[in-house]
Formats: sequence, structure tokens, C-alpha cells
Amino acid sequence: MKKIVLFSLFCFALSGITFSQSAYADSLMKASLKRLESIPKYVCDIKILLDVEWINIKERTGKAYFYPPDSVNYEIKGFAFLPKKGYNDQLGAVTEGDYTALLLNKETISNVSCDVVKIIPSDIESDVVLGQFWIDSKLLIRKMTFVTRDEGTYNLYLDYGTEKYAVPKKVTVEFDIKNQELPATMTGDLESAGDEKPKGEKSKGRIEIYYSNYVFG
Amino acid sequence: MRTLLRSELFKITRRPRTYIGFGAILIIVLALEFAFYAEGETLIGLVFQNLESVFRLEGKIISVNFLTYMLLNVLIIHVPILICLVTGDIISGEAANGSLRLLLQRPYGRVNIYMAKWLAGTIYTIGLILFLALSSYVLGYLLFGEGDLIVFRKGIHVFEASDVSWRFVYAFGMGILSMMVVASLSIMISSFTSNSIGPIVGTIAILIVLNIISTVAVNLMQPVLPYIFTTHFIKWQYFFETEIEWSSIYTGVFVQIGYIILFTTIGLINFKRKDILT
Repeated sequence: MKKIVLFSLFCFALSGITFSQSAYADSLMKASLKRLESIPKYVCDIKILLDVEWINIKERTGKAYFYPPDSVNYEIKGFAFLPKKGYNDQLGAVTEGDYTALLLNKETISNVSCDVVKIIPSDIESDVVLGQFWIDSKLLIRKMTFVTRDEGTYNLYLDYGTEKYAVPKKVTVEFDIKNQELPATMTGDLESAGDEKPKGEKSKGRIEIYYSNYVFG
Repeated sequence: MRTLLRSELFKITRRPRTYIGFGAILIIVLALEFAFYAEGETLIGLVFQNLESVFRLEGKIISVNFLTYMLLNVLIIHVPILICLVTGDIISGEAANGSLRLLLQRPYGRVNIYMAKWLAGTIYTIGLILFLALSSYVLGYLLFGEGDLIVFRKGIHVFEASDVSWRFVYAFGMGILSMMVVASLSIMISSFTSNSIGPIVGTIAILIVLNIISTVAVNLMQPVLPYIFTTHFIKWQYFFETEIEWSSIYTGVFVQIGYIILFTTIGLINFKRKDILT
């Protein structure tokens, strides 16, 4: 009887700890999102570097125009590959509906100690099935990982400068990408016709975007 | 020699078939450029379908540079046929209608006559390629304007608009060299026959066979491929790579110059020894 009582007390205490940790993770996430929501309209210079094995493109420069809450327009000199979804979009996809927040161990990202919060969206149909965020003591998100249903895993690393708002000076996006296969008759690339990689083979890609000269409106 | 060349060029300009090549190129250019103007976005959408799930594509994809590159692909398949129509007829045509005998009675020497015909054929070839370049560029510029060049070759290469002019100059130069091989071959065959159809069909047949060998039996023919001149017809594409394989381009240039010299020498020797009976 005594054992049962002790076990029940243990379970109760454990559920209390778990609940409080989950509540803390949720409040941390919400506080971090609030910092992002406070970012006003801005324009800044950007520099884009793409690293995908089979895409050769030099550095591109231009301007980014941000309109709250989450719209970004680009003005790039020439043609450029940008991430399909910026960190605002991915963040919104995970946190706009109901979700469960879990607090994991602390980790260090770019020499900054961060709380790790795992977000599980309640919507079973959600494209993003899992999100994980590394949040520092200033409530800045240093890293995000999104596991998506169809497009593999995204990792976003954010470095910050000295700006007043939670805007990054550099965002690195890592993603999975399928090899592009085009018929030689369409491309005229008759020489490569025999040596394509296996269909649908995935490789890792990376985009680095450097932000500078922020002008807040 | 100058008089002979002028005379040969005059004869070329008087033949209606000379303008078939220019007309065909103009039709190809107009058809492709207007097709892209009308449905280019849809076509490009198919090409970028996979990429658009990962990337947000910013900027213009279809530009004058993209269209000019696409039209350069026409070189491999269609332009040799158009060149043969004129150069294949340059000696045999005159042999067939009897004017070659009259020409040989004049005090120019067979070497000069052959070389004047070869030069006239070469000038026609250069004119045809320059016409392709000019028409595709002018119309492309009017319809699409400037823009970066996106090339699908061994992956995807994106070149800034300011970085493509020199590539096109070299590429068209390489295209002219390849077409000079075709012209030299057809003039050589033309020196062997006394009818116009033989050299035209003969040259086209040789090109088709060699093209099939180069593209279909790649593994089987690998050791001899560098020595087949049609292998080097696509060397102009090498100028549209981020890291240009210059050694491969030099090989292409040397092999093609070698073939031009070979075909011209054979044709010349044959023409010198030939009995003109018609």
C-alpha cells in the first residue's frame, strides 16, 4: 500500500515537472515570437550565396523589403535562387495553429547557450510535422529545424548583429534537394545524356543570406 | 584570285537556293522566339518544376541571352543541311550545266578556281551563322530584353548578363568553324560528281551517320570519338560553363581545322586531276 502511495506521488510530481517545463517552453516560444512581431517595416541590403552541387551561380546582391507581419519582397540584380520559405514563413507554419511545446536540454549555438524547444503542431495535416528552436537568453532564435512532410528537413541558422530589433545579419538555410533531370532534347546537353545521377536522388543544399544597412520605417 | 572570288560570290547570290538557308533560319528564329513569347513561362515552369518546390526564383529567366543560346542549338542539326544546299552545288552544279568547262578555259589555274569556290562557300557559311546570331539577338532583344543567362548543361549554370557577350562571340566563332568543316566536306564531294544532288545528300548522310554514332554508340565508339569531326560540333557549349575546359576546346579547334585542311586538300587534288567531260 505504501509503495502504491509513493509511486502515485512520484507520478504526480513528475507530471507537475513536465507540465511546468512545457509551460516554460511555450512561454519562451511566445516571448521569442513577440520579439519577432515587434519588428517594424524595413529595407536592407542583401548578399546571397548558393551552394548546391549542380547549380553554378555567383554571389547575388540586392535589397530586401520587409512588411509586417511576414511579407518580404526582393529586388535582386539579375537572376537569383532564394529559399522558398523564409524563416518567418516556416515559423508561422508551425506556431500559428495549436501546438505542444517541449523543453529539451540546453545547447550551445555559435558560442551562445540556448534553450531548446521542440514544437509539435496539433494539426495532423500540417506540412511541417516537427519544429525545433534554439532560443538564447535575449529571446533571439539562433537555430530552427523543420521536418516537413514532402520537402525533407530544413535547418536555419541565424546570426545577429547589433540591431535594436530581432533581425539577423546572416541566415544560413540548409535543405534537401532532388537532382534536377531534364531531357537532353530540351536542354541541348547531348553530352551529359548518358551520365545523369539516379532519378530522385537527394543531396544537401545551402543558401547564405547576409543582411546589412537596415533602415527601419 | 579576287576577280574569281567576286565572280563566285556573284554566282552564289544569283542562285535562289542561297536564300533558302536565310529564309529557313529566319522562320526558325521567328517560330522559337514567338513560341517563347507566348508560352515561354509555361515551358520554363516545366523545367523548373522541381526547383520551385525548394526555391523562390527571383528575376527574369527568359531573356535575349537565353533565346540566343537556345537558337545556337539549331546549329548542330539544321544549319549543316542549309549549308550543303549551296556548297554541295558549288562545283558539281557547274559541271552539270557545262559552265565549269568554260571557267577552266580561262587563265586562272585549277587551284585558284577551287580555292575561290572554297572561299565563296566559306563566306556564305559565315554569313549564314552571322545571320542566325544577328536575327536571334535583335528579335530576342526586342521581345525579351537583357537578362542573365541560364544554361542547363551538366547541371545549371547562371551567368550574369555582363558576362555572356564574350561567350557568345567565342561560341559563334566555334560554330562557324564547325560549319566550315561541313562546307569543306560538301565542296570536296562536289568535286567528285557531276550532279548537284549527290554532294548534298552525301554530306547530309555522312553527318547523320556520324551524329548517330557520336550520340547513340557513345561507349562503343569512345576511343574514336575525339577523331570524329561531328563530336566537336557541340564544343561551342563549352563556353557556357563556369569552369571552361579549354584543353577540350583546343582539341576541337585542332581536329576541325585538320578536317578542313584534309577535305580541301583531297578536293583540290581531285579537282586538279579531274577530266571535265561535260
